[in-house]
Amino acid sequence: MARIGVFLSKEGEGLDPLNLQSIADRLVEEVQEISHVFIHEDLNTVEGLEAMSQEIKSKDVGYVVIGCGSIDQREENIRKTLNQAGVNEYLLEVVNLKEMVANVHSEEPEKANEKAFQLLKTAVIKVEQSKPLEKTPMRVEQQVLVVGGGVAGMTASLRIADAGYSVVLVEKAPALGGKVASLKNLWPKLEEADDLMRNLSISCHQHENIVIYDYSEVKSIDGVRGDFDVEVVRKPRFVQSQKIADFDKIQESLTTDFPNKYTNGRTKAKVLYQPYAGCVPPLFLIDPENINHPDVKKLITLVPDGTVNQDEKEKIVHEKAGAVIMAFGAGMMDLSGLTNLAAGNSDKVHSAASFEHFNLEKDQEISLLWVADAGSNDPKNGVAYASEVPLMTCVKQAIFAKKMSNGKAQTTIVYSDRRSRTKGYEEFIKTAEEKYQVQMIRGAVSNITSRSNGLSVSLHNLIQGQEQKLPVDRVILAPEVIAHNDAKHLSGIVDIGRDETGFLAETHPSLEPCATSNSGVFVCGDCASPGDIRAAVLTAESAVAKAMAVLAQKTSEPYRLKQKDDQLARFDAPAKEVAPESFQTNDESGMNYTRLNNVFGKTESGASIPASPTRNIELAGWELSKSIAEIENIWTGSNNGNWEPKITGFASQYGGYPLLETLGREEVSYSPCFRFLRVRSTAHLDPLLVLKSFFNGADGVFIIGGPLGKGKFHNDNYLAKRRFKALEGVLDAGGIEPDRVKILFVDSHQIDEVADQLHKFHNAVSNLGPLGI
Amino acid sequence: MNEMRITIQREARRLLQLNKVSVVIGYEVGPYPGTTAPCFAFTPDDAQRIVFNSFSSINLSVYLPGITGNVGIVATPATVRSIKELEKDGLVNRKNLHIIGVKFPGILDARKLNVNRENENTLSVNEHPEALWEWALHDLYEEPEDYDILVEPRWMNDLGKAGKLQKPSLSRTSVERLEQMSHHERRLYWMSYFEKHKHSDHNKNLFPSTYAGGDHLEKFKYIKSAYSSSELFYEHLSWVYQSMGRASGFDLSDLTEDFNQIPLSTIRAWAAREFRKSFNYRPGGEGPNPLLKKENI
Repeated sequence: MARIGVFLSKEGEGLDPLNLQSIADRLVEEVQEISHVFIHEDLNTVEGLEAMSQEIKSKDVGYVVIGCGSIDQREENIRKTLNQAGVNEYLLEVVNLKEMVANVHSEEPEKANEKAFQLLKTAVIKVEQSKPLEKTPMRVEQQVLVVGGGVAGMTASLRIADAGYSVVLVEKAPALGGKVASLKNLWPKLEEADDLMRNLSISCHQHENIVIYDYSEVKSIDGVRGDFDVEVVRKPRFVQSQKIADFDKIQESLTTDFPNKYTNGRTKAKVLYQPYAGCVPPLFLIDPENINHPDVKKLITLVPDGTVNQDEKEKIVHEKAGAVIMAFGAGMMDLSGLTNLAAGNSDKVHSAASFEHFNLEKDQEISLLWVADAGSNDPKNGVAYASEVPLMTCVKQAIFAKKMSNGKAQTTIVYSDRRSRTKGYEEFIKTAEEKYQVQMIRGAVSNITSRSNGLSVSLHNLIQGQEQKLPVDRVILAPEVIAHNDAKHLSGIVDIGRDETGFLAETHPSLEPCATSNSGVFVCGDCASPGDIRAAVLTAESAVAKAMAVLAQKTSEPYRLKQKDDQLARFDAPAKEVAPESFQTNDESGMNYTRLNNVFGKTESGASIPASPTRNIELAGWELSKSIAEIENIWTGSNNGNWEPKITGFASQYGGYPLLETLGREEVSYSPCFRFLRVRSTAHLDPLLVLKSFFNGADGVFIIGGPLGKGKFHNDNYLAKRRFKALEGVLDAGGIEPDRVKILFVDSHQIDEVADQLHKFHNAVSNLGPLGI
Repeated sequence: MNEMRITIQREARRLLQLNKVSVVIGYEVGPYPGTTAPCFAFTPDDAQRIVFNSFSSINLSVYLPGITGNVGIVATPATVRSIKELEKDGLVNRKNLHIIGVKFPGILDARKLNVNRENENTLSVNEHPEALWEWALHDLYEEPEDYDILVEPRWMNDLGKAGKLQKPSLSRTSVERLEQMSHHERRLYWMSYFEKHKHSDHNKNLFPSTYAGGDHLEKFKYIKSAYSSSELFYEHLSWVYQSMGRASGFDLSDLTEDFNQIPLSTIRAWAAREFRKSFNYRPGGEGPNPLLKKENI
């Protein structure tokens, strides 16, 4: 018989109103599966964990149930302790008695104690169903795919390559550089952007561990962490030679000028061109839309045979990667919608991007005004957020205007919020103000109109509290950084989420920056959030650290999909629709489990299991049998003399459960009628378990998961939403009011919303009365 | 209807004689008058057992998954819709099927008629519209969306040519009757239904013939002799959920109850209706099953 030990932690100051001793006595008396119950002062200390380890060894405990505080941050430490004590770390159940019971039911001590007992008892029955799991050896491709050849992508590539790993760097443009290629200088040190870009580009170009696919796009990324299959499309340049003799002379004979799309149209180019001087790689191209232009025919007569190939087609290149770093940058907001600021209507109004290479004459007297918030914090006309980038761009350009004009230019920056939190940035602004006499006005520009020889800027001065009109010669609008046009497409390729602003979503902005819902894909630079060079480099290095940790991985977590019965495997086909890459059985090792590691689907949510009509698939560690044991026991023995609703709750491991813990930390109370069970994800939660709950005592079921479409497992929770919508019809026909089920998809900050919904649901189920089936 | 039987038998024999298929799945005479059972014809002689009449109600597509090689199958419009779902799920390959499509003559409720072995192959909706099984109304007189050969009863053909083929009208449907009840009443109704049938030999029939039926049901021993009414209720609702968007067809389980009562299949009909409303989809429709799509609704 299994020797189950229950370890209760007083969490230092106690768990009022819980009486742990009384609960322990009752567990020993009523739950025969338990061999020992231990009470500790605090299991979240080194001493506590060591004492637990000793007790496990001395009492020969085989399964462990722990009642303690917040699970979220401590589960890893507990697992390690179990390993050290010689118990398989997966023979463990943890019940949060603090945030999920004591803190939220402090005014109802009797019910709180009853609930704590029932949760622990259920955990004991559940842990008995657990099987020991072992990490499995895995082979990891020792190569990283980096998507995007800007500062972040190049920095990441160089760091990985320097560490001895191979890198495949894919850049959409014909040359490396990214957004920096369009800048003249950088803040706060005012270095030449060109220097930085060239140094990085050349270093990448020369590095023996880096393969650069320039003028290429990632077509597909299939597979899982450690083993990605990548398809790259190499676009045709139509020019076969790396060097063209008498290039300047040839250019002169080509008559038509085209706007150079790689300098934002700032410069012109002939039909045969390089994106810019000194670009890396230093290759020529002809734009595909010009390939049949008469100048190309002329060109063919001027260059050796075979130099130009008008029939060149796209090529597909296949690569492997153990990890992927997304670093494809961002875009800039389109200012044309800001008609009150005369954007696009006057040649005296510039965007900061076009003004970057504007030259002033020495001693030129000109009045320039920058608007640092053109479209920032303006969800109606622009975007709902504001980054440091627009203001810092204005300050940098204003300093250069002063420098170029020998201080003769009048420079004014209108800003509403002095966003200069990064170290050294405030000093940079002060330098602009004090050394270069740049005028900073905290205000909001409402209108820009033309006047006879310039512009008139109307603004509200927030410091003086009054309206002002400033006559100026030119206005420069600094747009906000926005998500890249390719963000939607590329996030779809690797099945990761995007946040509400369109940038790639990180797993947790502060605890897991750069990580995504796909455990083999990391993000850095502007594609994750608007930032400057410093942020790009910092996030690149963080992403590199995570990617290299994947490359160094030797074993996989044991969570993986298994088919329980080969004979029934033929019925599992529908689940492939949900997790197509995870259904390779009988792989090279001859074992009947899915592909090589812990990943089921790109997102690891377990979404494919309820998609199997036979439930012949199971997720090791999260077996259906364990959930069934919980559901069948969570309400057994509950005294219901005065009827109160019994509400079985399901909270997702990464979304709902941590949020409920936060609710507990804030001591927001709700009814003890809720008993929450932790599930892998809402997408893994089988609607049949919800149905089963009703036949095992529940009067209502409350499901809480992460934000819809952008949770830990990206958009897998859309599947959950669909499944529970379908279940409504079944419940309704069977006479179970669909209102007895509530599914809530919430973000981590929506604590008030959750509290409100818990309260409302409790009232709703109370009004519906007992289910009685 | 005898001419249909002869045509189907002839086609089945031909397929088996020419080794075009290894088996033909059709209907044969059932254990009681007014019922049919699935028939698996492996030899040309076996084809003689095949019948088709107004009591051919089982959705034969449930037997397709797992059968290797080429298969002939007698298929009503609903069966073809299920086949399409199975094909989407990768469980059958249309290339391996020879579909003997049936222009649907409807299904009669044997409890409403005096059925015996002599007349069971001749009774038709044309003569007994009052006995039409309500779930058959939707597809009545319709052709399957896909078939290799189409069979139809002569009377339907004659009436069709004369422009007199009209669907009978139904009074209140079972779903409508169920809707009149409160949730509580509905729940109590089903609980008493399962309580009444918990020891019945018809337990097996309490489960709709779904997608993963047949040997799967047996294999997992979902059918137990000692089910409580609550367990039966749960298992039935589970199967209804499982079959959503995938299966359609008729439940023999309905025969276990008096015909004046609301039949068990009403739960599935209700759920299927809601599924259509929620996802604008019915089995056999375009695109994947909506429950497999990662898109917001």
